[in-house]
Amino acid sequence: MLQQLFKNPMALLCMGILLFTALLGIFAPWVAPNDPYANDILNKFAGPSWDYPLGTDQLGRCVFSRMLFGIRPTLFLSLLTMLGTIGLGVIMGITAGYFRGAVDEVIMRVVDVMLSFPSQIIILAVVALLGVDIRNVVIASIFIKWAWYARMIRTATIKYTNMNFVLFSRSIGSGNFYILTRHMLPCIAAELAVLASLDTGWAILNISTLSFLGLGVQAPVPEWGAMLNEAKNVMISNPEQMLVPGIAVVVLVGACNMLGDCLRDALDPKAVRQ
Amino acid sequence: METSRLRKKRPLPALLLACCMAGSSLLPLWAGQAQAAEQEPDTLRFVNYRDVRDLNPHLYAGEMYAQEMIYETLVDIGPDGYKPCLAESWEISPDGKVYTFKIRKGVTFTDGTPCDAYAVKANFDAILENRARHTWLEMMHLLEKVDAPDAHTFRIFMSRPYYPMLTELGVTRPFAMISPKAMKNGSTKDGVNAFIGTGPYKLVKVVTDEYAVFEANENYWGEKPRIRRIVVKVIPDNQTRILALEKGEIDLIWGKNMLDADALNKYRNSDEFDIALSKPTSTRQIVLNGQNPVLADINVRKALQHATNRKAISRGVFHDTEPPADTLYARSVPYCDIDLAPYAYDMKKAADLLEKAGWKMGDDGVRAKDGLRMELGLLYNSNSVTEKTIAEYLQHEYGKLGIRVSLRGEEEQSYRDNMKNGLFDMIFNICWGMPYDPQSSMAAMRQRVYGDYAAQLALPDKKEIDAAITEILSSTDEKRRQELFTFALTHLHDDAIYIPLTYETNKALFSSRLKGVGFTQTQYEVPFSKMYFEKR
Amino acid sequence: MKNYVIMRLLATVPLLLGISFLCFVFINLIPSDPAEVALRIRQTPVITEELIAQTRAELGLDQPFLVRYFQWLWDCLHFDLGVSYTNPARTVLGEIGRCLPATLELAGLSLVYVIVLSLPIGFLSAVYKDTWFDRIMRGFVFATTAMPVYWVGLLLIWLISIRLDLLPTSGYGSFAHLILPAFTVALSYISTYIRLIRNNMLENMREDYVLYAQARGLKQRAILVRHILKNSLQSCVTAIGMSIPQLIAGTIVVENVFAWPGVGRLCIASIFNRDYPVIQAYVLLVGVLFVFFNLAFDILQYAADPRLRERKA
Repeated sequence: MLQQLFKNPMALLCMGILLFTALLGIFAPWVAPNDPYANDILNKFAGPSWDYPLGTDQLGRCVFSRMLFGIRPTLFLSLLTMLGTIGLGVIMGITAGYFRGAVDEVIMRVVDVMLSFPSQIIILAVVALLGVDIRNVVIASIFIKWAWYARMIRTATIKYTNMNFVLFSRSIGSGNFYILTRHMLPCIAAELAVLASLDTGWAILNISTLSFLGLGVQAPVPEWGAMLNEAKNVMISNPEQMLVPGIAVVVLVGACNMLGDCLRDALDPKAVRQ
Repeated sequence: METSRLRKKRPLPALLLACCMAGSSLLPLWAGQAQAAEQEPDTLRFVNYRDVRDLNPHLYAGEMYAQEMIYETLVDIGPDGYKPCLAESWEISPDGKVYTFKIRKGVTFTDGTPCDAYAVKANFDAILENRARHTWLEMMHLLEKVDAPDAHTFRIFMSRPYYPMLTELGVTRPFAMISPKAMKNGSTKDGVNAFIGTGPYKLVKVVTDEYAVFEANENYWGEKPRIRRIVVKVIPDNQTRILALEKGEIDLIWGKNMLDADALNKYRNSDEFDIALSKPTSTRQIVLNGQNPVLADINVRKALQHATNRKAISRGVFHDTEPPADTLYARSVPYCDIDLAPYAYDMKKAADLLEKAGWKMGDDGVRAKDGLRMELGLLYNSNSVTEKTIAEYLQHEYGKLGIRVSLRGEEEQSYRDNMKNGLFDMIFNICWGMPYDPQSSMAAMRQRVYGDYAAQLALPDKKEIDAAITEILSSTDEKRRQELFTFALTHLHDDAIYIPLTYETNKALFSSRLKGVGFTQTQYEVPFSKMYFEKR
Repeated sequence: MKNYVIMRLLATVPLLLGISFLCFVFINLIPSDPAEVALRIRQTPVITEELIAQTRAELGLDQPFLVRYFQWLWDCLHFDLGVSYTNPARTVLGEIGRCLPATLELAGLSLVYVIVLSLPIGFLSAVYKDTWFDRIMRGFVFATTAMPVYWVGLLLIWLISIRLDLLPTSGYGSFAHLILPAFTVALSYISTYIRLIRNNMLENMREDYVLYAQARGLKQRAILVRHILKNSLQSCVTAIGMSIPQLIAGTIVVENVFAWPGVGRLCIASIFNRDYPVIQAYVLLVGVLFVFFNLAFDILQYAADPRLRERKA
């Protein structure tokens, strides 16, 4: 599967973009030409120059440096969200699928209720309850998204539970935990990877949207959605402010989605889209 | 396979695209028509950021500009003092305790009820029934009783003389007169049945969160306004308001926070639109909470004063539309023309002050003294774009000095709650402005009504300042009053508890066809009566 | 058929209970004391411990949790959703009722956009698979799924309203105000459905009955329209129907960008104002809508598709 993936130029490009962005985010303090918080209020909305490659914002801060530092909340918090979601989803899904019975019933009913709300509404409700803060956005996203994973992983677990190698392992006396971690997880890992990469795109959009609405990352921390919110205030006098952060979001989300598609194709040649 | 066999040449995609294009080219035509139909002669299209809400003049939940249009008070506050309004004339007894008003004859509310002394008394009764709600006005503590001996005489009895009495009677609320028929059993504290006053305009229609329509009061006793109809649209967003003006959907944007300076700056040399700026109306400031262990040190407060570059804020944030402020009240405010030495912008001096007071720079760039780190929160109203911008600017400036500032934006209601309860280190505030300044806003410093009380509580000279303010209010001697004001304001200035930033101004941007746009002494009153459209 | 409908109806009861319970728990988790909040609403100047205890009893807050839950549920069933915290003069139901029409207008026109645009484009993309049209449309679908909705809204305002001056920038009023926001809401759904319909059509094209129809010598056009399109439409209409509540919920962001006075903006404003009853009502509303639309279109699909019925039997 991985070999196939590396042969696909599109997948390579997407991975390249993601890796490059992540590196820029990690090394932002060294790459950025300016302090992202340093302002020069008399030099606001300046055009691109050697000192400020992408110009300055409403406080005269370097847009380029803020973009670089903005990678951190955008990309890394999305990844954190995905890790949390997968973790919770895997635990719940495998528990339900492997043990069945009453445990399964309870978990799946909870999943049903969770899935009967549009995810955006639940996130807003949780943020409303816990207060406006980016941490709560991450918690809320995990809280709503795990149900999707739980359902998918439960199905996969049930499918594999009756396969010969699992039955064999059990007959030679392997414990539940051993079977779950050694046999089940690797089996469903591939399917997880597809879903996760598609959902990372979703998580990025989600975090930036909530920051745009003022419910996520708070000023003055640089974040792309929050930067667009600030750009909205000067849409008439300085429309160029909303270009760069928007394009950055599109490229990053596009790369995640495309990678997800490529992964799916590589995983299941039958499902290669018509 | 099969699909390829199905594929034949069909011009469908092209057709579809053509349809889309035709559709979209028709749209503007039709949208333009809709806009043209809205425009009527004699109609001024004004804009506000929110709905008019509850216009009960005896409570505080309505938009002030609308209350000013509908209702009137006994006296008006003009540029050279008090002017008669619903009261034709008045007399003050020699001991300063009895006010006798001659009520103007022939004035009626828009529902036909006469506005005589009995109606005025009914209004005062309704206001006094809810006395506790109005104690932010000092006179509420001193007012003993009111009576109306005949239809044209109205009297107020006070327990002590109180010099700003007429000013407080002249402010928009709560002393505006509503038709007694609109009250609920003579009471207004639980709402009113209709918004009926004696003012130049009457409210004819409200569509919540969309628009409100006012029409000229045909039976208005004073000079009738030339503009007969005013439609006030609700547009919450700054940018959208300007766009609406540019597209001719509205004629006038007027107010303190209705326009951002960048946009205003764009129209400085425009032929189509004119700009008007008022004199300072109020002071934009940051209040420091003296109870905070870091801010309890006067040297820290003084250092913050010196580290604040007011000129840069005035130019950078406001494009000079709001002048830099050196003192709590502008010199143009009554009793405030005092010589106070401004805290000049001087980072070095600020650093020296901190250094001398024992605040040493730590390894992480934050100063500390005896284990206490210089970490302060700055609270702003998240509805205000300007406050957020200034907050981010100051955060970085103070950061250079080794003071770590964290920003928190809150919605108006919780921002006010926090201010009132003293739950802040530093908070943005705007003083009450004309005509409340300085007497009413200073009177309020003595009680837990606004942030000032909590901020000043720990000052060593708080008692003396409060005593001076109390004496000012009942003093009938002009010279003594000035002495006391000078004393209180000098102490507050030396205590450095307020960081004045800029003097707020009312700003107007309007179609150049509209003439007579100006400002009055009362900062919330939009003087529609003086406006008119130039004939084309 | 009857059995199926009854079964589905019964199955929604625990789901609705679950949703309402979640909403109730939600408001009971808020950090402030409801009794204190109620006192503040009544503008009581000084709030004492005594008063709080008295109000607790008055509001029934001293009752056990479950009793309160059923009391609340009972009130909800009578459309009594309480009073707004920030504006005690307004009931929650009144607030929702005031804002809902605007949201429904927005969602309604978006639905029209979705149907009018995604059906023909999806159809044509499948028929003209791998031609320039299909490629462009696939590019479009890919781009729109990666674009944040609010950014699209901002770009549209800037391009259509500011630069070209064709439509109003934002706000509520004439039909012209509705065009841009509805299109913005519709955009992400359009791309989803284009893809859905295209894939559905392509799958159907490979079915045996198509080959059989061709063997019978039917015209290509007839096969496409009468068989393939008809079969694909069924599942697509169901999918679109089920996404209606999603559409209503999806207006939140767009309403905030375009200053559209609907329930979404009400919800965001309530979050900032900590007006919990309004948020609670909004969440409940969307949850219930979701369940009912799912139910309705499930049954519709069941009625329309004989294969499903046979499978169950």
